[in-house]
Parts: sequence; structure tokens; C-alpha cells
Amino acid sequence: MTKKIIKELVLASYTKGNLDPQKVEKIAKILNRTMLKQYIKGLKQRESYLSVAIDSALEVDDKQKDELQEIFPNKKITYNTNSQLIAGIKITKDDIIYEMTIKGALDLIFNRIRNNYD
Amino acid sequence: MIESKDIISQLEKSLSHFTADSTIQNVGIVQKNNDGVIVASGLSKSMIGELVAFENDTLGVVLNLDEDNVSIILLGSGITIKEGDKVKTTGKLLSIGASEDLLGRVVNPLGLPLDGKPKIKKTKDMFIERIAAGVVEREPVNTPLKTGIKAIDAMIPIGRGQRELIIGDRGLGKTAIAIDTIINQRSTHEKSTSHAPRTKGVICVYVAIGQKQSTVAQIINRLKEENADSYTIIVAANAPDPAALQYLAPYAGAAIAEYFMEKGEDVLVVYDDLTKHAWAYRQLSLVLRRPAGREAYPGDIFYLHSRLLERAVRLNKKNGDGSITALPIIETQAGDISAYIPTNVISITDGQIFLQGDLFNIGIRPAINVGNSVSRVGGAAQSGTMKSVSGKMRLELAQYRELAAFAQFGSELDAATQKQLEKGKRMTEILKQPQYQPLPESLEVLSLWAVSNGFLDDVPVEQVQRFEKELHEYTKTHKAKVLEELSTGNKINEETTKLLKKTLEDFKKVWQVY
Repeated sequence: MTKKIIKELVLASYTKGNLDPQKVEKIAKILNRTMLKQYIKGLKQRESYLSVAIDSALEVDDKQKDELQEIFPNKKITYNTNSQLIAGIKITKDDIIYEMTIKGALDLIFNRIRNNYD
Repeated sequence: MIESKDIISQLEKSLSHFTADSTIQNVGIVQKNNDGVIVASGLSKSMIGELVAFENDTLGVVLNLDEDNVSIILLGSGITIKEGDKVKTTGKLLSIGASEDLLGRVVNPLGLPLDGKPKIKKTKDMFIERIAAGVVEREPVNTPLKTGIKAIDAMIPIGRGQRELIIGDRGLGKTAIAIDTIINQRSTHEKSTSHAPRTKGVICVYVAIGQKQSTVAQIINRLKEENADSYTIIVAANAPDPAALQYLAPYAGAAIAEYFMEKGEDVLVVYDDLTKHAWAYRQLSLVLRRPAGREAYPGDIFYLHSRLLERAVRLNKKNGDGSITALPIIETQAGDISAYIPTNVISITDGQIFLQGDLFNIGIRPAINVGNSVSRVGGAAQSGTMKSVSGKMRLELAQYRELAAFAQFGSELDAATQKQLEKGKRMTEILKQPQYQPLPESLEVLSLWAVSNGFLDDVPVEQVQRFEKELHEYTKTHKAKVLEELSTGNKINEETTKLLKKTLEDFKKVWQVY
């Protein structure tokens, strides 16, 4: 039962898709230590659900950003440039990672060789 | 050592399959690390039994799927895994790489070598958890699996594809019976010169679960000494290994056995022992916070063993004619076979060999309690030769036991009873057999025929074993034809009976009581 209430409180902490600090403050005041822990965990999960992280080898331009926003509507997208990826893009959405990078491909080959040879 | 050309060819191979598809990974975050069990959030797409990899390359298997998190059992060291670490799915169910390379090797349940030799080349990945063959693929047990132990081959015969439990207290020779059986399979791999019907060589898999490393080392050495290692595979998850590996070991053994069975081979798997396997699973279940039942075992403890032993099978010709014979071992406490795990496994198997401490202590070794031991399907697989002597024997032994119990109360017995008691004593004596000395069926039949036909009645009880040993030597050197006749597997006919009588009479002329 508590889990269900916490979930509802987490959802109620958002205004127009954004975390509302005033609501969070109010809710946090009425919760005990255990419930507060669950509430924070719930908020983290919700934040992770609402956001998408995009790592790319080169900087993403505005046109590409618009296209990506169309693919992930209602999500907060954060962009990072990571030259270690060599080329390509890595999208982290909640607990799923879509990767199409040269580094990922090389890692796959490396693992295959390591697993098949002594 | 990797050759550069191997790396290049691997790269070329990858290039030929290269497509611009993205790889999809399902990741999770470690929340807790408790005694070899990891609780992780995320991993929403993981499957039960799926292999997952941690940042430090340690592998784990998903065992519980909850609403917000999953529980993973670790297959390696979890010391460096901490809260907040990443874990990702691999999309693979737990499997073991199998090939002929495994023969003569010692591996852990993940297929990694423990004998210091090179990595094992894998031909096929065999799923560790697999549904057993269905009724359509099976046929009844019809070929004997000879243990080389007189008492078992005569009275509790085992057939290929059977599940026969070996049960008893510690130190009564449960493992010894299993090892003798493995050693006896050497004859199935040797080129036969006799008229015996050719049977397939039996490949053996010995699964050591939660045993002392020194015990496993002794077994390995013994198998090497007896030249039994060339057809044997040892899967070991020893006492210091994580409970998860001990839990997986018998399934890994079954998966290896299935690889050979699919190739039409006959395989013998020894699970030594399932009591420790149940303990390992109980430990995991308690850490996973699954509800505890009787003796703190989880509710699915019966299924744990039934799904394992159901994988023992005799496939019909249409499905390759292979078989897996299982010899599970259960250790009892103070001879209590009515405890939870023993009763479970007794009800699953097709019979049991019950070893008793009292018999062991009075020098009857193997200490098999013939009254409580049974083989439910093996009789159908017994050869005609053995059947001719064993049917009578079981009955006579039962009568002897009953008479011996009554004879304790009175001193005066009639001549017939006394004769029966004396014969029973000799029968018990002849069923004794030293460890690591399994006998071919022809010699087993010779001994049993001699005792049940009264040829040992005038031999002092304490000299029965010497008589037997010398009889075997004599027959091998002077009467090889009898042994050839006995190894055909046919029922003992009049002609063979005459030959046997002549052999025994001739031997008794030269044999003397010391």
C-alpha cells in the first residue's frame, strides 16, 4: 500500500512535466525516514524515465537536435560530446542503451577474440 | 597465445557480418550486494536465467524478477561489486561450451578448466537449464550398465537411462560405488576379444558438489591410475566455491552429458552429492528472501531435483539411441532415510542402493542393505546369464536373513535350517568385494553360480574370499571357454551348466584349505 502512495506522490511532484521544488518540499516534510528514502528512489526513477542522454563523438547540431526531440517527445534530452566513441552515437533511455559507435563495434570484436582464444 | 593471423581473420569475419545496426543493451544499477546475491534496479528487459555482466567482468545469473528490481546470483567474486555499479544483460541464457575436448578434463560449472591445462575448445553451447526429453523420444531401459559390483549387478541391476540413488551415512562407501562403476566402464571402451555382445562405450561425468578439494584431487588421481580419465569428465564446484556455482554444477554436468547423448553416446552421470546441492540452493533461497518451508528449504526444492533427474533418459533409435544414466548420491544423518531431501530423491529415482553403517562395521563391504535397496526398472536390462543366477539368490538371501534373526533366540536348529544358515553366510561372504576392483560379468556369474549351487558349502567361511580369488585365476588360465560362454549374455543352458560344474569340480581338486 505504501509503495502505491509513494508512486502517486512522485507523480504529484511534477508540474507540466517538470519537477516542482515547492511540491517536493511539502511532500518531504510529511514523510518519515523510510518513506522519504522510497520517495527519493521513486523521483530518481521518474527522472531517469523522463530523460534521455545522448553521447556523440562530434557535437550534435541544432537540426539534429530537433530531429532527436521529435523521436523522443516529452523527454528532457541532455547532450554530451565524448571523443572516445571515435564515431557514432550512444543513446541512454531509462535502462536501455542504444549504441552505434565505432568504440562499441571494436569492443564487440575484442570480446569475441578474448572469449574464443586463450 | 593469440596468433596475429587469428586476430586478422576474426576481424575479417566480423567485417563480413558487419551491419550498421545499433546494439541494444539493457542496463541496471547495483542496489545491494548480499552474500553472493546482487539486487539491481533497472534491467527491465532481463529474463529468468539470463547471464548478466558486471563492470569488473564478473558474471551473474538472474534468478528473481521483482516489480522494481532483479536478484542476481554471482558466478565469481563479488568483493569489488559495490552499490551504484553498472550491470548489463548479455541476451544469453546460461550455457556451457561442450566438445570432445572435455574428455579427461576437470572443469567448473561454467566450463573453465580447473586442471591447469589450456582452455577447452567448444563445439556447441549447451543450455545449463533445459527441459528433459519428452515421452515420444524415450524408450524403456533395455541395456545393462554394469557396475562390476557383484551385489549390485545381481540384485539391484542398473540399466542405461536409469536413475539409481546411492544413499547412506557418511563414510560408508557411496562415492566408492560410483567410482568403481566409472572404472568398470573402461571395459566398454576396450576392444573386446570375447564373444560378448558389443555395447557402446560409456562416457562418464562425475559432478562434485561442495566437496573438499582434497577429496576431489584423490578421485582425479584414482581415475588416472585406473586409466579411467580418458572417458571421464569431472565437473567440480568445491566447498570454497560460491553457492551459486554449487547450485549450477549438476545442471552443467547434465548439459555436458546431453551433448554426448545427442551424438548417440551412452553417458553415466554421478551427482556427488545432492544433499550439498540442496544446501547450496537453500542458502541462495534464504538470501533471496524466498519463503522457507520444511527444514528451511524453499518450496521448489522438489522441482530442483526432479527437473535435474528427469534429464536422465534412454532415447529411442529415431532420436539417436543415446542415453544418460544418473547416479545421484544422498548423504543421510544417522541412517535416517525419512528426512526431507532423501524421501524427495527416493521418490524421484527409479530405485536406491541403501548403504548401512551396521553392515559396514561388521565388515560387509560394500555395505549394501539388500532388503531396503531396489531397482525398479533395471531388471529388464539384466543379461540372461546374470538373471539365471540372481533370481534364486535374492530369495535365498532374504530367507537367510529371516532365519538368522530367529536363530539368535534358539540354540537347537534342525539340519536343514543349519545348512541354509551356512549357505547364507557364504553367500554374504561372496558378495563382499574390495574397493576399486570391479569384476567382469563372467567372473561375477561364476562366483554367484558357485555359491548358489552349493560348491562352497564345504569351504570355511573365512576362506570364501580366497577361494573366489583363486577360482577366478584358475578359470582365467585353465578354463577360458567357460568365461567366454558366460560373457555371451545368454541364459545359462544345460551345456553351460555342465561346463560350470566341471570347472568347479576340477578347481576343487587342486584347491586346498589352509
